[in-house]
Amino acid sequence: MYNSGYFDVIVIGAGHAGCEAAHASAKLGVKTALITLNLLTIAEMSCNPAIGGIAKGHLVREVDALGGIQGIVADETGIQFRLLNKRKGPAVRSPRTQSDKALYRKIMREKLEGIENLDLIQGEIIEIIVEKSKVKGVLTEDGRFYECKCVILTTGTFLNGLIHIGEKKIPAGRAGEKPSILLAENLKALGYEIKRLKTGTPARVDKRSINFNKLERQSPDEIPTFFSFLTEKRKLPQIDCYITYTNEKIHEIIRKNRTRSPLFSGEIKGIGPRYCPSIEDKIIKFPHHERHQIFVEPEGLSTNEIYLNGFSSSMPLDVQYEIHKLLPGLENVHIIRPAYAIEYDFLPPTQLKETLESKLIEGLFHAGQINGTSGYEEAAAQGIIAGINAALKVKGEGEFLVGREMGYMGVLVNDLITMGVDEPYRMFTSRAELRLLFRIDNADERFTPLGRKIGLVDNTRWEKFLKKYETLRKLKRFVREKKIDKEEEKLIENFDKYEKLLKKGRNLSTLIKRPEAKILDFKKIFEKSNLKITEYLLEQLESDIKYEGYIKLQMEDREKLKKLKNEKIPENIDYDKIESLSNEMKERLKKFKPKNFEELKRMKGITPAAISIIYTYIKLFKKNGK
Amino acid sequence: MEKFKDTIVAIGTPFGRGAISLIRVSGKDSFKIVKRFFKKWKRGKISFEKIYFGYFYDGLGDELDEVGVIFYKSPHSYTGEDMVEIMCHGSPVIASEIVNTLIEGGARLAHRGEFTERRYLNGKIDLTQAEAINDLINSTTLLQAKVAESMLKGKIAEEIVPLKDDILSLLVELETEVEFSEDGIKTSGRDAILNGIKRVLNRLREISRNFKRDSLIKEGMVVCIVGKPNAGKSSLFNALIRDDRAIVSEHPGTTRDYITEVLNIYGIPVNLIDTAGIRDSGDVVESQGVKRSLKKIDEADLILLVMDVSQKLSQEDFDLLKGLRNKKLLLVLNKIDLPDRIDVISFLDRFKFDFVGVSAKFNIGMEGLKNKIYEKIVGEEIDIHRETIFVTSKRQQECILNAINFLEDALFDVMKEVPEEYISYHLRKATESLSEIFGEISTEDILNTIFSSFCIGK
Repeated sequence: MYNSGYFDVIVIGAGHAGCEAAHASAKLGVKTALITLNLLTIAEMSCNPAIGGIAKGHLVREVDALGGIQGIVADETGIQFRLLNKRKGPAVRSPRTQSDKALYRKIMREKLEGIENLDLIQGEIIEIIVEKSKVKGVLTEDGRFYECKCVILTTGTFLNGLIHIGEKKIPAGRAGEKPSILLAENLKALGYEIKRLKTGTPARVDKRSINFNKLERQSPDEIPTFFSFLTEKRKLPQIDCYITYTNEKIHEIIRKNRTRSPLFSGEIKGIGPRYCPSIEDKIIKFPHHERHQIFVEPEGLSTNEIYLNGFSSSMPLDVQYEIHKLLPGLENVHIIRPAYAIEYDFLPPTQLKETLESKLIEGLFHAGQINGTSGYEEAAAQGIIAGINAALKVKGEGEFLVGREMGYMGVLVNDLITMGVDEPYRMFTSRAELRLLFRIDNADERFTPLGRKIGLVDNTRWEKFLKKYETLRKLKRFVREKKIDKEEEKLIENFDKYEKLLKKGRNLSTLIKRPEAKILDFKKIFEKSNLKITEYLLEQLESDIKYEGYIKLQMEDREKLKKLKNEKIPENIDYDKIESLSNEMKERLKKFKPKNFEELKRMKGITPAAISIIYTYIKLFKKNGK
Repeated sequence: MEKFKDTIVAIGTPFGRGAISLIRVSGKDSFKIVKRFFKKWKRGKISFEKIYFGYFYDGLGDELDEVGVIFYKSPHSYTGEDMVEIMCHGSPVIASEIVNTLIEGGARLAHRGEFTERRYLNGKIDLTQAEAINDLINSTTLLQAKVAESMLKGKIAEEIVPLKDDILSLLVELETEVEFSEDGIKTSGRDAILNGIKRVLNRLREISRNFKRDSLIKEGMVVCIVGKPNAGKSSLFNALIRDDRAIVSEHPGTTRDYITEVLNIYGIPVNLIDTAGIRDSGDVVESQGVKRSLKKIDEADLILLVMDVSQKLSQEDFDLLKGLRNKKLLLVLNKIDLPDRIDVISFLDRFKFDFVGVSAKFNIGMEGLKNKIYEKIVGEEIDIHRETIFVTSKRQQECILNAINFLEDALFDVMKEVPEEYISYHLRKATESLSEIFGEISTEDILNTIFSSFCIGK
């Protein structure tokens, strides 16, 4: 064992959680190391070549608003920007982009290498050295010992990773990469509860072997919606994606070979994500569907690799080759690498505090798939929270807590630590009870002041933020006071739509409130205000005006949520004394120790009856002065 | 915790003479306390939920009664705690002596409803059941008891849970549209949502309407007897309750204050109130009574205006009719045994009032009057056997009304083509309101259903 140096914070794993954690920690001025098995795969997109999506795009925006890095890298490497849910309300619209995977790795590495306090280190960590339940350092396989105050574990699918292709099993963290076996054993020895999950990825195929004339085309937006509040222009040319469909022949083959899939033979014990099932799963569970959509997505601008989104599989190779050739347009397909399922260890996140620090070991933080989540965006969100908290701990500056009343990041952390996970956890807008408040356009309003306070938001971002909201404030006043006169009517686009409305009232804000009104039709009138407007800003203004009623309702909901949070549960409460609770419930309560009724309410398996019993107990408890 | 440390005792059967009385003891010292005073005839160890006969002694060792005793071991008892039930002879004196002895031995007299409260706190029942048991205890008529009983059997659950499931399936459609429409998942569309909301709304409105009748059953009605002096109000009152509680006298103004009695009209408890004759009077005591009577009239659900058909209608009668015309009114034409002086037909033609002719004195027409009272109050024929949901508490009614409001908002949104997530907002609020009755729908429920009903995933 060779003492190879000291760091304040060591991040193990350089995936999307690890990069974000290391970035935040180093930017906060503490000496940080990012240790990875292979420096060439920093920020590898192990699965689909895309960032964002509904609710996920929200997360990226929030991470960015705090001063994170994912949004910036996604914008610089985006090759097909699309705003999703355009026909829905503003709260559930969310950006997504196809990414150039190789560039994503390159740009992320460059950015990390440019940070002063950050060292990139290659090596396999086999042990976390703990003394008296406190982190002391880490040990690499080749004998290097790094001393540190905090460790952030972001191991992805590497802990005891096991790939399945039909009957074949290969221990691996990703295709062609070594799994972390010793570290998994070490974590078990440290006393963690460990469970197993499963995920999968489709085959990568050669672009040149696809007949695109046979496929439906899906084009990018003309005006891109970016992830970062700092991005002004896109860097890369935009590409198309394509859609093809499965058919009865494919379904027949899969049904016939069903028992050869480790999913159905019982070989795979880990639970997979229901929102991202393998093709065999879809066909067995939904036998009445005639066809399933498959998205054909390039992995980058300068590669022939194509990702077949929706076609992940754990079938044996012969079946895979057969069914791929049956997809329209892929008759002559050349498979670059086959699809596979992967099982991996995760540490149930109910073992964590709100800071993502372990309840078991001081100074040990967990972020990303190790907590049972899936997705690059969910990983980054946890990464930044763990990174900030580790740095704050080193500096002795308290804790950074994100409640579910603040945004998707809070929902994510709160769900994880209170409910735990049964399947890989993905964010959905419906998970946020205050989702009408959590729009992508106001993520900065919700998080940038916090990021500034912590020290993660630099002057550029802060000044831009201040300017934006000053303009918005002025616009709000302008729109409230503005009466459209006869002369100005000519400036309204699609005037027919407003002719009747104008007879009822000429106030601009009243007009915009109408469901059929579009603020951009009034752009020329806004231009008269002499304020520096952008279309993005006008749309944000429109959302605030149009949905004002709902926003007010949700603000009330937010107050209620806060109130529940303020209903504290005494730390010394003895659940054994509440006889009416089942033993199982008591054990769960003793283990999780909810701090307030909001946490209690969200705990898995907790019934309203149990809540009222505990509530009554605490009231009596207080009354009796014990 | 003190609440659970105490051992409580109470007589479980109604006060008064009966064949037996039942005394219940609950709490962790129940066995210890009872065993001190009870000597069973059979030898051997006590097993639970079996009846043992023996003598019950007081603190000085004197025999009080021959009793039967059953021991229940926690949690297999009514309250969920250790419990003892003692059956003694049905004399109020003996039962209270036994209770006093047990109190001497360390038990505490239970508060009203405390056994049920413990049952609830010990998790044996949920809140709605606890409320229903409370109603069962307080119910004064058979129909009330039936209502409370149907609650206990989870009638509410049977009705509300399917409605919550209906809303859940609407939420699944809406959320799938929000989360997965970009993945090419097709949902059933706006019309299905619209109809779905309407269906749930109609059912809830129906339930809410029933509440009115059910709350009558639960809380009872106030029926006031009003009329000019000596029209026969007290005679009518007495005829209705078949009792001689009110003073009947030939001299006007005998009933100086109001008198009240609970009457059972086809299962609905009716607080029958006999008001003082309303007239200007120099008598201070009487005018006090008149004041109180006027207040009662104001609060009444129904007013029986008594008129003496054997006398000519006076200005007083017309004044009363005028003064009460905004009230729910039933004319009771009394003294039909005497030759009538007023032309009933032409009178009724003029005023179009509901009326019943009776003779309070000879008990004629009383059933007809009761029928009419019932009809007036409930506004429909009674059928106590009908299978319908009974919403019995104000709290539950409030939850249902809230749910109705949210569903109406959602309906409005669907019609105005507001995006899905806003409709979903109102529907979630509606389910929250219904959940307050019991049970919850969580986001997990919605997601679980989405995953089982749609093939999600690119």
